[in-house]
Amino acid sequence: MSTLQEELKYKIIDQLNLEDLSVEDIDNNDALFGDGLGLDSIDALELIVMLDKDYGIKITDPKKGKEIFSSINVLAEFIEQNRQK
Amino acid sequence: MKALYIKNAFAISPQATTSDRLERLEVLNGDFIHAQPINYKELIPPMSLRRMSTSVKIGLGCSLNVLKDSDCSMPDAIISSTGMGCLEDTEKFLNNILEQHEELLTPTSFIQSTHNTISAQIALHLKCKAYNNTFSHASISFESALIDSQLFVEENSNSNVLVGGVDEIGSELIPLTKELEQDIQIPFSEGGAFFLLTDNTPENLPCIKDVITYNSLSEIQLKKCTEKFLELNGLNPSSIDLLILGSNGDNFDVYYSQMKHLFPENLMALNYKNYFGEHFSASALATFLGYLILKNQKMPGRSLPKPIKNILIYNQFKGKDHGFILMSI
Repeated sequence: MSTLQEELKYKIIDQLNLEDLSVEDIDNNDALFGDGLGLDSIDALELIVMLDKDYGIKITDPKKGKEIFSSINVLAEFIEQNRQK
Repeated sequence: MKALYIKNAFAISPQATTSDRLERLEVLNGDFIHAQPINYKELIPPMSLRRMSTSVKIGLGCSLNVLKDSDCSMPDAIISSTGMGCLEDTEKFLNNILEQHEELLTPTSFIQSTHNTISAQIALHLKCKAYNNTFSHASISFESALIDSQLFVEENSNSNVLVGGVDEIGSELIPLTKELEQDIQIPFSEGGAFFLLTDNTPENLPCIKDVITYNSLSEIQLKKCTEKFLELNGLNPSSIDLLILGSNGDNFDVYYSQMKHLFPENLMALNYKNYFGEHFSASALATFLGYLILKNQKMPGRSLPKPIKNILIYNQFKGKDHGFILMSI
């Protein structure tokens, strides 16, 4: 699981162009949106596409997205339970 | 048409960036020369900056610097020009379409790839809901933006118009263009310049007196059009103190030779693309250079035999899209 969490941090930094952040700067329990990492709705779309492309997970309910993307730990757990690849 | 007085200007180009003078100009060498970036982090929040391509950073960076040192924090119009738009994001998005077989495309590069992203980002940053327009007409994009600025102040007296031109190199299309256009002898480059213009000022500021464009001109028509343009502005060839020309070494430089023949033999002429490179917004940088020369009465690396009062900037690309900008003080 910790490898997946690291992998997610690298992907988030790379795909969302968070140039000033390193993996060490993101705590596994930090909120990804709002006051935490400060991601926005465009980032949410990027993450939904990343889940589909890299893990074969389709998010169809937008409300669910809010839950899944609450932190790295929650996202990693969701991927472990639902991944198709 | 009303003259457009330049209250302030800023440029980001392959030359060392400055807002009010250029101590020296380096002749560019190489195939592709990128703009020298400024410290964008001082001006733009990091969470906004991360999504911006080079041309958006240049456009917003120039605009914020122009407004910072002026008495205007909110322009009455934002008019930008770009020949190729946000190439980096366009190339990224098109490559994604190919690689992903038109599926699972992410939104950021698509949103940012449109030509009006630059003007829009400036407006969003300033929270400016005023007139906002973008011109994309190849090498006369900037001239077209200036004509729109003239029209705007004709209808809205005492206005402040933020106008500029910017283009970026990207990674694929420009190198391909360079392969196809091997006769062009100067480097392809990127950069931009923005100006705060007004139709009404008590100060004696450099101004853009008039602008005109032609999509196509023969060499014979060039002579007539130049003379007519000067005449319309109460000038003749001997009233011009400096020619700023867009020569790039290709076969169409014959237009610039013809242009020089219209003027007295000892008239000073400057080939601005030797210093700023070739791109569709290069004439914005020529205008920035003209502004500095008029304002400071200095030319980098040269002494002036007499004061410079009138400058004519002329540019064309491959014999098409001819732009004339007349500047005065």
